[in-house]
Amino acid sequence: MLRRERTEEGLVSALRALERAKGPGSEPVLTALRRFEAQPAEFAEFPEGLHPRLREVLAARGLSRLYSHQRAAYDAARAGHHTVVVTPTASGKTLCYNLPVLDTILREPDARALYLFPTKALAQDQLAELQSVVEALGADIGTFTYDGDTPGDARKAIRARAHVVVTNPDMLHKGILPHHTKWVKLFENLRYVVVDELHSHRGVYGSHVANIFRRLQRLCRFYGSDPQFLCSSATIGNPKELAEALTGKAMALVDRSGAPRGERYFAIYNPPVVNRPLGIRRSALNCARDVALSFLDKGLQTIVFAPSRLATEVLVTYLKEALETRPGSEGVVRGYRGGYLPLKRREIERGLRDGSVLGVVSTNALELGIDIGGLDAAVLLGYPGSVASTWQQAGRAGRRSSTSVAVLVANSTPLNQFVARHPDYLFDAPVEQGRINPDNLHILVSHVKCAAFELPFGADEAFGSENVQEVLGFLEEDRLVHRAGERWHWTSESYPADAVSLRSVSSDNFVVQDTTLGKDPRIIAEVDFDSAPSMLHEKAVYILEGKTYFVETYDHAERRAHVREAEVDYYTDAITYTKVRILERFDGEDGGRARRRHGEVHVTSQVVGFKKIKFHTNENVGSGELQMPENEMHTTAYWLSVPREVLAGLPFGGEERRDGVVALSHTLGQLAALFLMCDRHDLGVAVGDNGQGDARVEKGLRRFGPGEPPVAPGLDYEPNVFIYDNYPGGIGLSEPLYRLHSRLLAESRSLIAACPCRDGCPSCVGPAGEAGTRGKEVALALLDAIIAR
Amino acid sequence: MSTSLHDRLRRLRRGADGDAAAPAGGDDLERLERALVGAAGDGLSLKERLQRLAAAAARGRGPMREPSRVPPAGVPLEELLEGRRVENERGEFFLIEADASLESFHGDAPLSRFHVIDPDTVAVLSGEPALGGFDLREAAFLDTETTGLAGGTGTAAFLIGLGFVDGDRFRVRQYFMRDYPEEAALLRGLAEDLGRFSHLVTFNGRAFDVPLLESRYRLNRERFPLDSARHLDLLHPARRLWKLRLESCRLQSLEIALLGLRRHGDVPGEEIPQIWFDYLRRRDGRALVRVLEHNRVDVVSLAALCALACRWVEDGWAEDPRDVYSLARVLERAELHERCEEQYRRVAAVDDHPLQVRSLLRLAARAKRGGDHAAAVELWERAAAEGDWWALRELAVHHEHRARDLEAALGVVHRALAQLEEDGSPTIHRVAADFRRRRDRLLSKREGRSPNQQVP
Repeated sequence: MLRRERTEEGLVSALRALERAKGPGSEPVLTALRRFEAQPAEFAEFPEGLHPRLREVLAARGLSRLYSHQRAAYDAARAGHHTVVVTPTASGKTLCYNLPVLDTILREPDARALYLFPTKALAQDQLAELQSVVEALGADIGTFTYDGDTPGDARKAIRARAHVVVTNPDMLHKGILPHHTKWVKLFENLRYVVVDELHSHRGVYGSHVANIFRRLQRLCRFYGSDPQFLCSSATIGNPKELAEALTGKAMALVDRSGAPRGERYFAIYNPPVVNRPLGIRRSALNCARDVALSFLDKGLQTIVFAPSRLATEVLVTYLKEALETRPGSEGVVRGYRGGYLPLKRREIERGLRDGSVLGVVSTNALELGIDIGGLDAAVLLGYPGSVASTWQQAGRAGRRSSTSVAVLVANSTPLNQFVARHPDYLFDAPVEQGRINPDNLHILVSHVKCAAFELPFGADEAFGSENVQEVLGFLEEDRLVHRAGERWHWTSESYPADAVSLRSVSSDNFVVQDTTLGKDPRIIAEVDFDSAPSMLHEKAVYILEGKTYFVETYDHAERRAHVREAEVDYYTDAITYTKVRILERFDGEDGGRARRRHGEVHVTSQVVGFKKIKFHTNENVGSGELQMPENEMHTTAYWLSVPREVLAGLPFGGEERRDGVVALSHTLGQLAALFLMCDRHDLGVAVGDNGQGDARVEKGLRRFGPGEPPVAPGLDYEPNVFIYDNYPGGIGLSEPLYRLHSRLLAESRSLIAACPCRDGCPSCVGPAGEAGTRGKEVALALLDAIIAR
Repeated sequence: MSTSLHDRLRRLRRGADGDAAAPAGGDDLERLERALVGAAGDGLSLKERLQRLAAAAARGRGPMREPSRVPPAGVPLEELLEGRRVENERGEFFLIEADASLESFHGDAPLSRFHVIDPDTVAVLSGEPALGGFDLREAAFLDTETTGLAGGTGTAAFLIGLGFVDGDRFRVRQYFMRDYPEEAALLRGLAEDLGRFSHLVTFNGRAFDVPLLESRYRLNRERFPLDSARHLDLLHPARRLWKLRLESCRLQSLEIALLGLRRHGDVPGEEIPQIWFDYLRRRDGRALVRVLEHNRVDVVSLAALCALACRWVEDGWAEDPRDVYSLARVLERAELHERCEEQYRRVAAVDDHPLQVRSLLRLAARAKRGGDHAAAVELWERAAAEGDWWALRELAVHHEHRARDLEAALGVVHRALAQLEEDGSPTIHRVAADFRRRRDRLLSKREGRSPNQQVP
């Protein structure tokens, strides 16, 4: 096929050019290039018992048989198992659940199913697909989306007529479960709960969703149904475990894909160093533009994943400038991100499928299962934060029969540099695990309230693994529930689901009001409670869609900030002082030369000042002091203590030692996020001192505080580096980190040692100025001293 | 992990109140922590630990929370009210009954009105023909007191008042649950009594009371008795009849304005859920007596207002032009043509009243629909004389398209433009632009027309 040959030729020549490219020090820019063999399809026959209408309709659409995983999923579901299917992008996953669901409804017209997608866009996408099959079947099967956009007058009809209700966990939580008496038909006859994009239900969000499923199953018991969960997930390390933790049910796992894949290449591109002493590399964004253009110039369909909305828009601008030069070429490059209207998104998706759109720049919005067909090339601007996301994004390039390529362009953070230098980590390491902690008390208590609102709790009823009776007793003291006879009843006028936001633990958001136009301040954004002090403090520069705003007032009690549009050439970076106090040690080990611990801690953080940083040049152009309220939380942490004898043996002064510890904490924090497959902001990092007694920490990162001369640590300085769960109550990240201790230290050492900079840079221990002049050297010496050989 | 659930719950509460708490120094916190968690072994009973939990919460909050000691003995509801326990298969609940002679007054409204109301009036009042033959003497007047307004399955009706005419008495039965376990019996008892009535009257019951009760019946696995009841929700007709004159159409506002009723020592509606919640815990019936009285008066007021609204419609009682106009609209909705025009004419005769023009326009629209164009033109002229541009527009349309009198049409348009020039609001600009387009079209029509086609 002509096109296929052209594609292969173009890809190969573009890759060759990248391979040949060298930095100023003549080191190659491609640090890795892997080839993955093509995989042939594995087919299976339609199951014997499949409803004949369904088989006819599928045959009419050109499906004469199934992929092996589709058959396996169907068989497992029909055998009554809760199932989780894990296969790559574009492998025909939706049929894995649509097949058993439609088959059941065709036989039993009273049967009902609930489909859950993490976003409304995905729900729309899947609904269209499902409806086209239902239409072809000519059967009376009502399929409807039910979400915040559903008009009020349509809701009643949907409640009565829908066989398949397509919605999202937020709507289930706020709109459906608390009104279950209006959904009697659904709950009485609920046979299947389909959970797509299972891997996205992790961390805090997943912990909420697990509790929503507990509530759902409670109501199903009331109505006498016992639905089967059919889950589908992108590749993660522990799909079965995650699905089981989310649903509380034993799962059958289908993880062997029968879909064919063409030959694939994966390359890692590390931008060349342009300033060796400061460790400055060429801008990753510019490099990503060039790599993308090397494919686009050859007419290869390319997707670029950018880490932020801002980067997306900048890259679209660059690529349009380069490509949309001739009349009629408008629209060959498009952007795609949250905030675009649904119609526009559909248009872009269609353009990608039919080839009229050549290049698209997207945030991770296109990482999820929206159907855009397979493209020729994918360019990842920056390591997406997890192996799973990397494969998910890279998987957007990949046709069933022809060759495709993905290039990861590393930026200068330690995380990215680690990946660039250790490609094996990416290629060989098992994919990360999705973790949740549904029994996080903040989350659990919120959902016990919602559950009590929905249906009184029995005096012997369980809810998850904690003793819910004790939780109810606690709520009774707050007069939220009341025990009468054998049941606990909700006794409050409030609607508890409204107070629980699934996207974070604390639901108390700050609003940002624009006062530029005077009288009526307009709400332009919301900021979650924990980020508010660092983003909205007075004199901060708040950035929204490329516009800069100056924060005039910060009102903590009213949870709002007033901002005014202002053109400034700098942004602000808040300086936070964090103090960690150990409440309880769960586990500890004194072996080796460093001690590792994990346990429960009390974290006090306070924004004490800010720096002004100039756009583009990143110069520090000023600073200010702030008096902000303290933020307190209890959470879990892993920490590392360096015994004072070990420290005393190092040839450095007191202050230098502390610089070294701070430098080390920078690297540890970054790599910890890498190994845990979590967002960097899911973890907090703080440095403390054991010296004054038993595990009490008096000093945090105070040396960063403005106008405060650092106090040199005394002779008994015994530092702790804390890496804590940045959510009240913890979401279960610190215990695995405790187990990763040795690896974390070893990998940190090799990252710092391999970094070509002299005194520290953003790629290893942080910019040279911040970690002191000898930070890098001390950090390395510290690691050498504590790593057991 | 060794930290008990209880300890973590306690910390949770303190965390939530972190804002209010004075920023404690590290050592203070430490001491507090030790005092609360105790030495590693703990050794305290769950009860003791829970008491500490409550105490810690109290400290965190600043103002002292009420301690959990036993409150002074309250007075049981049963001693304060004449009521009785009713038993059925689902258990028992508490029933309170009161009645009044139909010869008596509620405020200044005589309850005897029930005897003289035409059963077809409700259909007129509500604009729903399906509610014909709705005899108020066969109706149940229902009002609930609930644990909140949030809706959803966590809101319950702990008190349901049911009023009805029984011979020469008006009776109110109140179904009350003294605690949640009585709910099923209460709902069963209510359903059995409701079986006698074919009609239901509520105030905002369509949106609130009825769906809420439906949900409660479902939750208690009882059959919902109101599925097929014919239902008059008085809120909507009341708004149509009185909202032009009265600022608020809440039941309490209506009873003051229309029934001349003043309640003494009434309990504000928003306090009611908390009074019942307190009763659940303290068993003191004193505050609750006021809630029961509140509900009883609500039910009687609902009935009295319903009767008043019916009489209002039947006899055209309205006096204030705003009420007369509202009444005309209600009659028009019910397609009582002559009666509604009679009321519109009453308003149209009131010079300088803001509703005069609107009434003229309604009358004109009705005349136009009835084919009486001469009458319509006359009414528009009267409205136009009051400076109404809509009437001028209607006149222009009439002259141009129906009478085909271009000169007359142009005359009207010029009048309109002259008048509009004096006004400068943005809406008026759009209207003026519309008239200018009309003028230009008329002028070009006049130019393009051959002399023999011209209307003399």
